[in-house]
Amino acid sequence: MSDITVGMVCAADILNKNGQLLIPESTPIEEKHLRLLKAWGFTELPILEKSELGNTLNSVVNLPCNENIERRFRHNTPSLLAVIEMKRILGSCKFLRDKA
Amino acid sequence: MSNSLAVRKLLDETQCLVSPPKVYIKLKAALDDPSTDFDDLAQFISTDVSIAARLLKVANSAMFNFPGQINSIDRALSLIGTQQTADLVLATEVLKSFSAIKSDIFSIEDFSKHSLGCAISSRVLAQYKGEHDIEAHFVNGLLHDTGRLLLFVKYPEVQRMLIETNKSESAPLRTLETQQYGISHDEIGATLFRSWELPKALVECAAHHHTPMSSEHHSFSAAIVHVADWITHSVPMGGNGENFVPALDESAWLSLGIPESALEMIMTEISKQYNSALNLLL
Repeated sequence: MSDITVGMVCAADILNKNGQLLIPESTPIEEKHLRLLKAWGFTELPILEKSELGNTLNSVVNLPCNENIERRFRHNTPSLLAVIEMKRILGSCKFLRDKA
Repeated sequence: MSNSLAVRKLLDETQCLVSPPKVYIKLKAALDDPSTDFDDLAQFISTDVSIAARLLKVANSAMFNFPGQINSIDRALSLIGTQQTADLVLATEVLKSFSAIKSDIFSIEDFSKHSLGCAISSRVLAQYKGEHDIEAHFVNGLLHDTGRLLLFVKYPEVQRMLIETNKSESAPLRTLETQQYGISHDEIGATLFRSWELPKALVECAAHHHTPMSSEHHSFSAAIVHVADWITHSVPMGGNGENFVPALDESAWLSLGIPESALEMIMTEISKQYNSALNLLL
């Protein structure tokens, strides 16, 4: 969170645990957002890299998403290296997924 | 009722809903006939204008990166190759028939996206492994869930109930299908393809995309589709009714010999090709 500064752009909708929309995708981060996000207990945020700005891909990464990932992967062997790596990739929220 | 009888009955009842890919079957017959020349092949493909048009769009897409415009079927055939063109014809023909299906129970668009996601993922994995005939892997991935499509079309209400059970009890949809029908979508798809006399690899990939190491002759291709299906669910790209990511088979993953560290790069390539293919094919 300490890396997030005013003017950065959200790469995805920021939702709370109940799925309510807190900050819509593509919103430039303002001072008030930083205060609120801290209060809501977020530890990381999906942020668009400069090169990705203007990218038209749909991104619907829900944060905090780790809980969701564990549930979706319940049929997978947790100790498999490929499964661990896939969860890491999805958890990093770098990967922009299609709006299914 | 034995499994084979149950499938036979299901297929008899759904024959009118899903038709065999006619252009592809004619094209395959022409390819196997030594007296066929290049012009005959181009002629066969051109008989279906919408397929010919889609094929040209694909040939001109980022998937191939050919310099210059390809504006005739002859030229597509000579650049892509006859076998790979036949595979692409099959792909475009099947996607076209999917899009004609109407359903209130599930989104055919999501299903097509899931199929396309698995097709692209299979293609990228095959490319990574240095396979030559990557379009064959594309088609294997595209058609792997056709059996489930039949179930959606034939038993919409039962499938709706199974999806709800899948959500709440989280048993895999495939397990619920076996409990309900005595057979699951993988076997249904394989039986359909056998009756259409599609290539053996395609039949085995449909039959074994959840059990790739039990494939008798095509465990490598089946493992590719299995891992591709897992990636498609993980992201997710589209949907096929299943709410959870299917279990990754450890032996299948290891048999491909792909280092875990390459997964992110592979997924980035899949994402790129998928987004360009969505506009082209759906």
